[in-house]
Amino acid sequence: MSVTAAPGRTGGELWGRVRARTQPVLAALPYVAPLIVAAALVVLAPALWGLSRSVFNWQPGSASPYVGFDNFRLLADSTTFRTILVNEGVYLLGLPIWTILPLLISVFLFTRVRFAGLIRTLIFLPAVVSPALLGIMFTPILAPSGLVNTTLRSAGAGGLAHAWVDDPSLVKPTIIVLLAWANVGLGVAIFTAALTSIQPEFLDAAAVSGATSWQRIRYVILPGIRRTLILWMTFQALGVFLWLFGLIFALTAGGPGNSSTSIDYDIFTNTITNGIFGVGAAESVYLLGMVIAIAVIAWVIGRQWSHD
Amino acid sequence: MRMQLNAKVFAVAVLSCALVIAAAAGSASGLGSRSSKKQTITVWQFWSGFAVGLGPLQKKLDAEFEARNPQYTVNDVPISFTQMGTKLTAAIAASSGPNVVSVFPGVAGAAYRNGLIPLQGFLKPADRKNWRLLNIAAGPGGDILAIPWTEYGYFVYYNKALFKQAGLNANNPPKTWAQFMAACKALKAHGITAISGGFKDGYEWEWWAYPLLDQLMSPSVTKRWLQYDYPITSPEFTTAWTAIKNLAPYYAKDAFGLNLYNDAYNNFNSGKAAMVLDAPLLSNVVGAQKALGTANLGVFAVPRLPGSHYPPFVDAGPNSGWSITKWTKDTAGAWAYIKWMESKEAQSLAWSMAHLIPNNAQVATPTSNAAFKSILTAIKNPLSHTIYVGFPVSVLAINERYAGEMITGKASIDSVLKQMEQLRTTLKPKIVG
Amino acid sequence: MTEHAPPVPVVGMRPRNRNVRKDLRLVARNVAAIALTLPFLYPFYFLVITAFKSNQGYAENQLGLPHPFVFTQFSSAWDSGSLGRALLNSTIAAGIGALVAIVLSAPAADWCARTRSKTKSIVLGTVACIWMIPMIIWIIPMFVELSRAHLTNNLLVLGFIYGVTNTPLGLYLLYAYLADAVPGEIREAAIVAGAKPRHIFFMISLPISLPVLVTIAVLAFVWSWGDVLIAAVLLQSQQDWTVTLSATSFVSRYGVSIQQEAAAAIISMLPMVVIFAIGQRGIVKGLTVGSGK
Repeated sequence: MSVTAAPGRTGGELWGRVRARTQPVLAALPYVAPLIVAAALVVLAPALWGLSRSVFNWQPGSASPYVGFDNFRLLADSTTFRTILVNEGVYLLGLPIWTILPLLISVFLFTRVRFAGLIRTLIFLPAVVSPALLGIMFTPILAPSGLVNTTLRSAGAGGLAHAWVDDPSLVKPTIIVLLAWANVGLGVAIFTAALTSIQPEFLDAAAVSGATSWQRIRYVILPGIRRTLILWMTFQALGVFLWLFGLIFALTAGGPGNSSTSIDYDIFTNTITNGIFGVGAAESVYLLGMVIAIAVIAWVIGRQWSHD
Repeated sequence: MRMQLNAKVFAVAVLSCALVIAAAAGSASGLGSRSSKKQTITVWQFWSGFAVGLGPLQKKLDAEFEARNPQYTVNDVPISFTQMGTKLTAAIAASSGPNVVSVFPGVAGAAYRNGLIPLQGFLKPADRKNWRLLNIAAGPGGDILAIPWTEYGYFVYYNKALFKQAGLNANNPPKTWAQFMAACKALKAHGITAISGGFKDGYEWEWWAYPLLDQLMSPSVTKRWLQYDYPITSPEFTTAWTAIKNLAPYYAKDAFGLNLYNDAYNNFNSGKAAMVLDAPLLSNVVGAQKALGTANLGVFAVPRLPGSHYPPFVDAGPNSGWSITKWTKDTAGAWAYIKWMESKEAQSLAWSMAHLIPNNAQVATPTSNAAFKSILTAIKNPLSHTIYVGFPVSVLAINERYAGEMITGKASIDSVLKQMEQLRTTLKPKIVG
Repeated sequence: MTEHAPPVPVVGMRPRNRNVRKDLRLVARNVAAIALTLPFLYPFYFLVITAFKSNQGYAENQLGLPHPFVFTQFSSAWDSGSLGRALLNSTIAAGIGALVAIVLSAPAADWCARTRSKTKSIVLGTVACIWMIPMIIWIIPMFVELSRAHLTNNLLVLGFIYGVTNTPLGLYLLYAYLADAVPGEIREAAIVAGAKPRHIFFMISLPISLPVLVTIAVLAFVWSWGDVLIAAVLLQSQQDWTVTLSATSFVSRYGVSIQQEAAAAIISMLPMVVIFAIGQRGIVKGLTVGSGK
């Protein structure tokens, strides 16, 4: 018996629909494929493969037997790893400084200050310097007879001169201050852009009603730049896990002892220097977990705040 | 048309990228192919970087090998010690690279056992008789993965004039640890810095640690240690580490912030400190003799701790070692190179050209230098050995990182030893399997 | 136009005092603002004056201008740190990085700006991953793979990886810019006129985004120049080292003086700062043109 095909079900029409769906994808290919393929080859595939090695005694070039969660347990029990986690926690304590300082400066420059643009550009100079170059640059500055101590001594405050990167109790706070110095310029630029987006009427209204600077900041500015604030803080918090390697590698090599070692520096040491790739892979899993946790927390807080 | 221009510009950009990648691939595979009828032996070594005069010696040794073995040509690649580990790891990952490579014997070499072949099968009885230090060459599994090459020994050099100034007998240096501490005290009381050195890079700490551990580890403990079967939290380590910490007052005040190489010899040679601990490159000894006057430079072995299991001896170990990689097809040729470097002729050359102390017992080491004579005699003492080869390099790195803190008391010895033991355990699967 | 008699200075006349106080506050604010820049410029100043001092000169005078002016610190840092060759290596790698970043991200950004398909979120998500995944997590496996392929110690490979790492920046900047600068109406008009997407890309998008492309190139170059992680993992032969890597190794070496460290820091930073300064105007343009339209 002959069946009349329902509309849209003939071979030709099906093929037409397939063509219609894939056509845009095919057309997109030459534009997008190089990027996606490169990303997959360089970042995604290696990352997945590397993370999967964490359950093996990964020895490149020879047999790598399965070891289950041994690598993870080893790290959890290791004093060194615990020290590193504490280090990361201490670095995160820099968040208030890294946020409040550029915020205050950008509010200050936003008021009637001459050459505010020029000043912002000059403050921006440190932001151009990458973490590793910062480390190189500050080696002579933080040295026992370098800039900081010499300035203190010639100002008569020689007692304040310390071994900034050789003293285990001082090295992390020193790094936090260093990062504040380096990032202020970028923060000021970003917060200034956000400040310009606040309706001038609100600021004027606050001025007219006699609000003090602090009240202006609290009730008009902070809520106005809320989204930027969250973005900036997330960016800084992630930076503690994503960007410290260069600075530590160049300035302290993780020392003294392990007091300034970051997780990524330790992964580098474990794999490239010590050759225990499986442990390094497990450590990478921990690191990724922390990064995801921070991103999730930031996202949740962001949604909370924008619902207020 | 504008589009064509822009498209051309963009196409050029894309083509450049493609060319770059093609060139990258091409340059990588083009390396190392020598169109020559001779067989190439590729050697990666770090010993020629240890001192300035060693480069010419290395070239000469390679040339002599090629003269004696005309079917081979040597591609000698000097690599710094700090980079050798990573490069070797990369080569093992790639299963290709050098044929012969500098690797320290013992545990350090065992870390690369995945890429090296056991060498004990190549040894002839004469080799075992003549080549010193083979007794500490085997790794934990029992395989000899690196043949020890040339020797060093740790000694304390002292400034006789400064000793006299402190009321000490300059011709009768300390033999026991108690005498040594007394000498340090006397020097300090006379305002003289007793020991020259710095703890920032950590090496000074280790240079004391090896001779002291040698003494404290009985022969059976030494055997267990070299088989990777003795924990770093054992009492021998605590005793040695504590003894070293007790030396702190006898260094210069800012020693914790200085590096070993920065100051150890400079201060000693300029008469600012009375003693310095060193494993000679005898060129350092020559330099000290020049600076202080030959008659004024004295030498003594690291003094004996109360718990020593041995009569007096020195920590003597290999400057380097030779290994053969497992992807090498012509292992006979690679072994011929190693055998040449261990031979009487080669090591005589090394002695005469650069004062490298031979580990080949057949090599005569003629010298008129009195200091050299006593050093050589002590090193050739069959009792002289080292437990250094039982340390994985990365475990030592932990000690090096904490040396400055331990010497100032900011880090406890127990916590550092514990961390070292933790890493040692972590590395066990890699080193022992 | 009315003429006012000049105000008679009478003691206690309020408006006048208030003006003075306001002026003083303004002056104070301006002074404070200028003083604000000092801590940010001082370290750079210190580096420059220190690098030109002899060891003796520094011992005698740490904070003042160099007297005499010497170049020995630069030449010793240059030689013992092997910084000359390293500068060339850095230029090659960072230059390739800038080029690759643009080549990979420009077409994708154009596509993102004009498309509404669901695939866009896949593309954006992939690119976000490049940025969010810590580099150490993928560079170590890359090291293993590249070792197998004999592609370590290869500046061209290094440059390519730098380019890929900077594509999120390129995509983000260019996408946001093109979405504004080449909006749907223009594209539709062009299509009606018979243009294909590639015509729009080459004839409209690319030329109009020149300032942003410059921005991306400069930022990618600067970032690649300053990287030390990827370089340290992939380059084991000292002759292939980038200048940042060489300078790092140099300043952590024994017996290196503060003056040499300062000289090494200047040598390693200068080219990058110069490129940034040249491209800086383009950056400002690139970041603000979109909002101006």
